Amino acid sequence: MSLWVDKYRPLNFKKLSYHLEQAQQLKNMVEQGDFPHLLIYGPPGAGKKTRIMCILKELYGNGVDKLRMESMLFETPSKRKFEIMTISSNYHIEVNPSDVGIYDRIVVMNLVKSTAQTHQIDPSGQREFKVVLLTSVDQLTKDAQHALRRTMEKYVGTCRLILCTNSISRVLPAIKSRCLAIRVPAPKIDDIKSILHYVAKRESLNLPDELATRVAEMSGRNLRRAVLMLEACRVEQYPFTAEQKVTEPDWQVYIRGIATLLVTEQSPQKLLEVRTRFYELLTHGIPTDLIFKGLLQEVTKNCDLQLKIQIANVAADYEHRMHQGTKIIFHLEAFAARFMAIYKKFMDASLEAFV
Amino acid sequence: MNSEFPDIDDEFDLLHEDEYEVLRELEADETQRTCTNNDFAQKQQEKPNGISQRNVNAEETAVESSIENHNKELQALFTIENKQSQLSLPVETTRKRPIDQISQNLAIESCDNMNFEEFAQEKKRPCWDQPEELMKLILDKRKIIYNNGLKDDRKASVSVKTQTNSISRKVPLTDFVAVTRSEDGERFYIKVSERSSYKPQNYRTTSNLLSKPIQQLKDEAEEISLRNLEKKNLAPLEHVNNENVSTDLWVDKYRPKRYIDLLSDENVNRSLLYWLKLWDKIVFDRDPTVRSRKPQMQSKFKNKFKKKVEDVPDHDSNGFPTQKIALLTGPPGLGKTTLAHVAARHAGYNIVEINASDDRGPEAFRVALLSSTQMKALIDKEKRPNCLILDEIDGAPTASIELLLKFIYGKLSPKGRQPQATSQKENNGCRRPVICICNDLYTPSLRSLRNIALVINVPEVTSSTLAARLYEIAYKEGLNIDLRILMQLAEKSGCDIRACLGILQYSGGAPNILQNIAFGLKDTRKGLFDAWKEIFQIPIDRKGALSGSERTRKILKILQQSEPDRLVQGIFHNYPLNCKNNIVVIYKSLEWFQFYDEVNTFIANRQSWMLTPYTSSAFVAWHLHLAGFHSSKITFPTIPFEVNQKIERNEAILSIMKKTSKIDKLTLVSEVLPYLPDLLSPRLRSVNAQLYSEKEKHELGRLVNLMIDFGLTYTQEKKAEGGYDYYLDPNIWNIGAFPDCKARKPLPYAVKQIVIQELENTRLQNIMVKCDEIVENTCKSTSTTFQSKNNSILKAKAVDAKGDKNIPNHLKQLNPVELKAADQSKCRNFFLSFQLAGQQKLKEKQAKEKEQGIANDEIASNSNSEDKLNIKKRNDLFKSDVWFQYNEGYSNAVRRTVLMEDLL
Repeated sequence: MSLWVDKYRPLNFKKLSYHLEQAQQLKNMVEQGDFPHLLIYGPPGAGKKTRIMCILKELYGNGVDKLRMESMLFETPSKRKFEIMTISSNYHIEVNPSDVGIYDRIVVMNLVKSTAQTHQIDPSGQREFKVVLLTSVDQLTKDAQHALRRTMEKYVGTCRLILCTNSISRVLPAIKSRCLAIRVPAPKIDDIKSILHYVAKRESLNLPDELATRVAEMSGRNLRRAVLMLEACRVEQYPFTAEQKVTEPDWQVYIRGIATLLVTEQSPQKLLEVRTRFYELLTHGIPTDLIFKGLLQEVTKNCDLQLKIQIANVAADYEHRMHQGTKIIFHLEAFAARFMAIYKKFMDASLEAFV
Repeated sequence: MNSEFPDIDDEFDLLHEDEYEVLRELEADETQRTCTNNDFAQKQQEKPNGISQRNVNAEETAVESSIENHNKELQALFTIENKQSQLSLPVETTRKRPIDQISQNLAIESCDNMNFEEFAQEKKRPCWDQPEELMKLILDKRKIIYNNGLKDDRKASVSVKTQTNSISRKVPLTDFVAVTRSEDGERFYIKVSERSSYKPQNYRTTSNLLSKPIQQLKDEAEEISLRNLEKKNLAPLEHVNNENVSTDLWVDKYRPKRYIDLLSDENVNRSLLYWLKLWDKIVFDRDPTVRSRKPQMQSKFKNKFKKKVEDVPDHDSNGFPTQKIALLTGPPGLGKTTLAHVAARHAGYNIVEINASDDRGPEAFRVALLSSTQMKALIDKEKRPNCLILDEIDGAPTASIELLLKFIYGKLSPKGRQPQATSQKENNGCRRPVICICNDLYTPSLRSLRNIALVINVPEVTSSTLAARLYEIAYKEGLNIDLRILMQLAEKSGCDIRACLGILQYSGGAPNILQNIAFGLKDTRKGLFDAWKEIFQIPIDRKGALSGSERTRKILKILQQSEPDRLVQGIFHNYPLNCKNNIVVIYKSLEWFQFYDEVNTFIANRQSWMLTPYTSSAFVAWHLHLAGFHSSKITFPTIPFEVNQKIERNEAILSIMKKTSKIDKLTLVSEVLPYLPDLLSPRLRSVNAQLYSEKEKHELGRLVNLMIDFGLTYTQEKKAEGGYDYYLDPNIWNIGAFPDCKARKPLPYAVKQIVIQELENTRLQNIMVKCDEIVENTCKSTSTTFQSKNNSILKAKAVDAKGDKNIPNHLKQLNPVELKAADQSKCRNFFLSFQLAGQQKLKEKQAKEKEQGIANDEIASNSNSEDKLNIKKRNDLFKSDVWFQYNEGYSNAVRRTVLMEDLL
């Protein structure tokens, strides 16, 4: 736990520093002894996982800290075997079913069943249910989500599901209605700033307030990223200065590069250059929605409002088509070409008007 | 003509004077015939007179007396004939005579000697090389002669019958001699009358030695020769008319049998032959550059080869050719197999061929390879070494080709036999030439072979060469085909020699050859590159660009012939460099790519194949949008493959990282990993770690902890330009860092070394801590009695340590440890305690059993006696009078306590 992110992660409700009201509510809920399935959602770096761990801690005490990695073996009906990594304590098991792609249904079915079918022998000292924590639920296939909804009801006596996801738009309504949905909003800039100061103090560093503000703003209200940025700054240069360069993730810089390429020249040759950059992004494993989002943000910086709307529309349409297909590069390049066409038309028109 | 009869003895001359007259008459007749063909028939008409005269002689011939003379004459004729055939006569007119003469002789001979016919044929064979028109002319004439001759023959026989009745077909009542006509097996019976009554006639006919009149014999001879020739003439016609009957294909019939006959490009032939000759040193143990025994035609190229030898070292140190294998490649039907065969035979090898029809699994391959190259045919009289030809190797499985490669480098040993060290040393790879033949050089399985082999590309034969050869063959087969048609045929077939010959043979050589030409042609399947080219290029007619609908039809046709997925890849890969500079068109065609992808994904997910036809509209759209008039530059799309490989590699890294850091992949990729490269390269001076300031030490500690958390290490690898460098393993730079984004200074080499050292130390410390925990845990878990024991030991140890610490190091003294008889309590062997326990239990058990009365005496006594024996031995050792203690490496000089912690 040498990363500051892990080092200064609050482990119980008392130590939480923002969304305190929500924390109190959660605490009350747990103290009542029983709660329905939970669906916790929010943007990355908002503290979803931290809150989940707090809940578990509150439920079971220190026992949840002893984590072990296990790989579970499953077999499809077609006799194909696959493995999935699980992180578990004596009281809970955490798994990301989307790791195994289209076989996530089998994981969901078997894992929940096997966990839920074992009762606690002595319920007096313990809770009478275990917790199954499923992460990235929005990435589950439809089949898996359908499989989930019956098991949720059936094993509610012995097992609680906590679903963790970035967005609930891809979660089936049936599941949404079976869960208590809790939104964890991204922390405000001030929250982040105060946390950064707290970390700096604990690390006995002297953090200028300007730098803290800049880091917080550049993190895009992502606390994890903010703390990582601070740590990177610390490695880069200490003592801190207010004008210090704050490192951004490389992929963001790279996407910005693509955007400038698109704007500078609209030609097939440039498109070829852009394509190699897209390939580079894909090989680095950057998720496609991040690419689309980043590209749209960067590209619209150079456009006026009318154009922005049009491009946003196109981007949405193309991203949707991308999810329907499999060859991502086609759709990325199609968007790039479409943007080029729109931008060129706009520029030509404005030039004419100018003349 | 007389000059050609020099060795006939005078006596013979005298005896047969009148016959000579007749012969001379005939000659005159024939010379006339050659000069004036027109009145030939007339002359022939005149002949019967002469024949009838002769017939008179014939009937008076006494059969017995004539036999000897007959033979004599035959012998004489033989010699003449031989001479004639030996003399090759270039002039037409003179050449004709011997043939006539031969046929005459032949006919005469055939009466008695049947073997002669074969002989004559044999002798005639060289005539193949002679101009053919002559033959034809002769044939025509022969036909006429045949017809006339038949009539004459009949007349003659009739006249014989009517005049004398001495020869009859029925068995005569008086004495007779039976004679069988050889050509048709008809039997004649010649009456034999009293010798005395015929005496005067006998005297008169002493000169007449033949049983039949010469004219008749001549006619018969002509008839036979005519028939033979006709048979030959008819043979090819039969082939043509009746396909089912024909047994030998022209392709085989006219396969080049000698090096000089080869049709393929001379450069190719020579390079293969040259390569084969390079093996001479290994195989025949003679210097390959000295080509004293080479055939004439090779000497022409000698100089060129010598030059080549000087340029490139063709042999390695052991005398093997540098390229140990030759790979002939080219489209089908160019004569690659023929070339390999002919060249190998020419270079003096016995050919062993393995082709697609043989089993080519790795095992079968191994057997074939070993047997063909390391053994020698004993039955073969010439004792030629083997040359292995692997035909159609592009169809062989990859495993077999790997085997072949191993074999070439001498790493393959016969299975089931222990590889002997000595023979292995000698065995420096394959000792016989191996020629591989393939159509497609770029088959994936051939990739490794391609790099080491001498690749000889067999180019297409020029259509004119091919047409010339076809014409020659057609002529030999008696087909009358225009050279222009053959040219067309050659061009249409893509200069496929085999296909051309096949068409020629089966189309019957008739004028319909061009109509039938389509059926024999091979499938003109287009390659991927051609398909891509067609999509990127607007087809142009004589009138200009084709209309839209025609282009669409063309594209759809291409689509039928190739795999759409690879086509799409190629189009996507190549369009930016091959399209017009119009961004609107590009984005529209890119939307078609999206469409194609969506439809295909849908099909794959729902198995609704009925949607597949709709994808082809995308191809049409691409063609209509992107195609231009300029020639397209097309490259193979390799990038998708590379990208996939990279993605796989990075996925593997990610899953490892996930296992160690317990952070899910998405967060890792988007948030943690981009910062890790920064966090992993703090500013550390490249000096000794002991000289680091407190701050730097702290920094180093953080770095090491981070690396342990994420399961990273530095591994030493050799750089391409020499020297070593440390690389992160798993290399997260691949994922976190992008090219030309932020210049990060990697840690200096020395710092990396320090980091590694530190990393190892920390890791060991962690392991020790863990071990301690485990020990504690196990201690707790074991039964109380042993726990107490262990605890006491631990306590004792602790006390010892404390005691040691209290005394300053330099005052410490080591006392020799006294040997104790019962040393077991101090023994730290963990399992010993279990053993003891087990023994105790056993004893208890035994005691119990004794109590129960089921004493197992044997076991008890055994164990007891063993124990006693041990104790006795020990006692013997300690109680003996002489006692020697060996103090090895025992010194009180310099000592200090070194704990594991101090080392780390």
